[in-house]
Amino acid sequence: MTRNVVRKAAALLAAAVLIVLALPAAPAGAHGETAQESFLRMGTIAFWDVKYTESKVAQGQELTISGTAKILETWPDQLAEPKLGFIGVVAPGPVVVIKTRTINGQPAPAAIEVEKGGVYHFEMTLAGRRVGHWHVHPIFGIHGAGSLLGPGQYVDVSASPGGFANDITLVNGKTENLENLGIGNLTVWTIIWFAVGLVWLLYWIVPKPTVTRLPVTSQIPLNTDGGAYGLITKKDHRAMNIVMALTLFLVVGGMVYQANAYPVKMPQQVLRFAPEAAVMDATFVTMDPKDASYDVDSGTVHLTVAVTNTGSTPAAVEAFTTSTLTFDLAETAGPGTVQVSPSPVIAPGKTVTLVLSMTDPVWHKERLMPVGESRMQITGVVRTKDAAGHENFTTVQSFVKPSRIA
Amino acid sequence: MSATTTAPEAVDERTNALRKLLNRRYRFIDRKFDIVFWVTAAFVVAAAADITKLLFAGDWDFWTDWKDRQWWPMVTPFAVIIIPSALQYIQWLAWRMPTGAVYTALCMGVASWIGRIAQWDWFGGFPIVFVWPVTIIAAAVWLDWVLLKTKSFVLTSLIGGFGFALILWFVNYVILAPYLQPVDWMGLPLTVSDVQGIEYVRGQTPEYLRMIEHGSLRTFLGETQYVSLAFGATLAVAGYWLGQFIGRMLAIWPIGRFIKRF
Amino acid sequence: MSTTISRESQGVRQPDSTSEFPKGKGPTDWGGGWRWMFYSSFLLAGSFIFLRVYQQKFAWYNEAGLDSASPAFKHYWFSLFLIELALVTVITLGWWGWLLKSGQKVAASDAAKPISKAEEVRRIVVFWGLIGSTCVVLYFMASFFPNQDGVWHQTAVRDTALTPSHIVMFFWAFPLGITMTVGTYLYGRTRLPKVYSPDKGFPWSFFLLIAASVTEMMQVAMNEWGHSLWITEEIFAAPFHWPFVTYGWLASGIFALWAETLGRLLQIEDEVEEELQTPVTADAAVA
Repeated sequence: MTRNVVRKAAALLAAAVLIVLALPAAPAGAHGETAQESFLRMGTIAFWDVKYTESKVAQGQELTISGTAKILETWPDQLAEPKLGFIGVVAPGPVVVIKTRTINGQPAPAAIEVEKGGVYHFEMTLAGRRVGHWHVHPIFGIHGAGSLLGPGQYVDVSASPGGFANDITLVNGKTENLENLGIGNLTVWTIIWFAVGLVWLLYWIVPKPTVTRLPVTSQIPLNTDGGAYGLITKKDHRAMNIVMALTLFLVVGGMVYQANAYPVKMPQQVLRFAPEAAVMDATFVTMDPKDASYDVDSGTVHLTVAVTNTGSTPAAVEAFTTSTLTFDLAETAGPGTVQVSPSPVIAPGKTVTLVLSMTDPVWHKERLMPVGESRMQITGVVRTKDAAGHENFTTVQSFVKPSRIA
Repeated sequence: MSATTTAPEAVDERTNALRKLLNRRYRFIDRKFDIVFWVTAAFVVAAAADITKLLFAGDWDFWTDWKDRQWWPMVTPFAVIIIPSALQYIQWLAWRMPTGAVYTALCMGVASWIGRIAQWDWFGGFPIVFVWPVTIIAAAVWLDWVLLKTKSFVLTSLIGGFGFALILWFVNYVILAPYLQPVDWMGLPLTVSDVQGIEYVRGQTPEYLRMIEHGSLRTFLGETQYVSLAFGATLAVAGYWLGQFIGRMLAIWPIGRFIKRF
Repeated sequence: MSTTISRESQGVRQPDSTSEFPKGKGPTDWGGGWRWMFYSSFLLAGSFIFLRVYQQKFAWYNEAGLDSASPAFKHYWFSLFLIELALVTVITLGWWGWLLKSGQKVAASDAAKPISKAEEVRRIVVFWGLIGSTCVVLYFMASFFPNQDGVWHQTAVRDTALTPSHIVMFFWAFPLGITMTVGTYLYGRTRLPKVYSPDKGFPWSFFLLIAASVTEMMQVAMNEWGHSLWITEEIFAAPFHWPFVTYGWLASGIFALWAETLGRLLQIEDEVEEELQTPVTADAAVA
């Protein structure tokens, strides 16, 4: 009867999953960033000018992701102070490999020392590795706070004849494939040790019965080997001595082998440093955010900012960027755009109060307008450009008043 | 019969009785019980040994670029000696077989390799040469051999434990050696393992999480690894007694004991 | 006057006859008492392998597992989560209920007609089979799927407690751990009264083994709470994870189960030996 119940359960399980699989579903678009609180996403790191040189590569073919990330001055107080950071890539596993990375022009193999307000131009060269359709993001991790994702893009990796080979040249001049470097050494030693272990174990458990030893062992003291009763014999001792000697010989032999096969070695390197400060244009605008509101029904954010042009030429608002999103200046409202009223241009020496309006379903979809949450706030970077082509990136932050809570 | 000859005869009798008992033929108990015991216990022993290694020293075990000479030789012996020690107690007490450590090492070895290949390689996509697990079989042979020779758990913990940590390091260093070769990366000297770490994207493992030797003011004339090994050996002795506690109090003590009141 | 009559002619004092069981299906035959071990282990392992294949198809490749806010996630993963919980509840309550109900019948039948030694041995063999299946579940719980959890979480951004690896590990394997440990106890309690009858009390061996599976389940809750609150970095060897190990050590009680039933097996063998050696007293009329 149990068998029938169990069989029925197994059939049920298989049927249920098959039914589920038969129905198609829309593909995913984001990768976990929606789970981060909006104050965390917006108030920590801003990304701009993130560019991908290719969206379709073959295995082994390269593409470059470049952009700028800034650790905002509005870094939330409940997170640890930014001291150590890491710029990398998030993808569904090593579907791409990172070949090079520079931060503010310097090669950056490891984590970097960072600070609030720091601006980091990054450039990473990637190569396609696994065939597929992959969403890839730059990611900026801050020790103690977690990782913040930058704007992502799909990268298609197509098959190359011969598959993916990852050649690397050692300092000694040898070229190896990083995909299987050292596999011979690894395989041989793994097999050797399994064989040694099996010899040891099987010597005892194959010829000698096991459970029937208990009536005897339960009658002798713990620290005796029961040699007199045949539990462990002199032959057993001799055999185990041989296996032990062989083991020690292999250990010593192994060390001699590796010293000859790989004579030049060094420990893992931890090359962390504080990147040189990014070269930024001189400041020509200052901003004083006044307030912000969010119209729940139309999905529109209005941000009121008093902008002062301290430069000598007119300056214009170009874009607003926050988290993974960029809103570019446009005449008419639409997703991914920002409208500035009364005008995006600020005359030199003047202070004007501007309203930046952004209508986009993304505020609701990605939970970026935290209506009803414990911290209703918007943070982002306003990008302005003057007549000479200089750019300023100014952090603004304001509490948000929603049109309704429920 | 004179009284002086009864004592040796009594010993002989007992010896003969126990010898006979060892070779007794049973009506129902046959070698199938042995096979089932060794094969099914392998699953739970592999489970216990692997989860202990994974959650006490897992990150060092996962990645070649974590297998350093300061932390790895310290945490790994401690993590991987616990369950072998418990099994040594159980298998010596119950069967007088010096097999607890090697049995655990083999079971854990198989489980680790299945995990790395089926999950880290096939599921996650990482090349096995980046994510291979440590092998503790040679160290376990030493541990079992010391128990066989000394018949003492105290001596096994000290001599066996110390040797365990050292052999563990040497055996796995042989496998690690190719990955410590230097490479020029963007003009900087890195090891092959560092480059593996850079190249194979680990989205949620930023480099600052790496708990490895960062360079220190005092490198003891370059002998960091020996200092770590010595400390690691001491921790292995402590881990051995943790394992003895598990074997004695959680596996053996409960036998035939019942809770009467709740 | 009494006469010792040989075993062979007497017949009554023969060791338990295997005619009680069909040929090849005796208490200690692979196709007999041991077959339950194969059925349950293969079924359990089969479910885990099936789910592993499912994960291979639907975790990364259509990205369903990467974004818990997506429709694809709901379709492939949240649905699986619900199916698993429903199934494991049905299977668990069904099996435990059957063990208890049929156990009452077994007890009544045993009281009316004491079971043969062969039958008692068969039950111990089935019990060992259940322990073996429990071991298989513990392996998938504590080694196979944790390895996967490691690679998932060190790669993908955590945005939900219901990741593809968690859904199978925490919500299929872990509950089955409880199913098997408690179920094995219920079998022992109802079928092996000489070892585990309730009037002896609750066995410490089972207490520890069952406690291991229950505390592991509880630790899941603490783990996810911690990950949502503070732990944004994914180090596997973090102290926060250590209770999974220490609770797992409690499963060492499983060795005591082998010892306790082996002890009873040896007792049965001694009883057999005694019976074989006891001479039979002939009827006075024969003498």
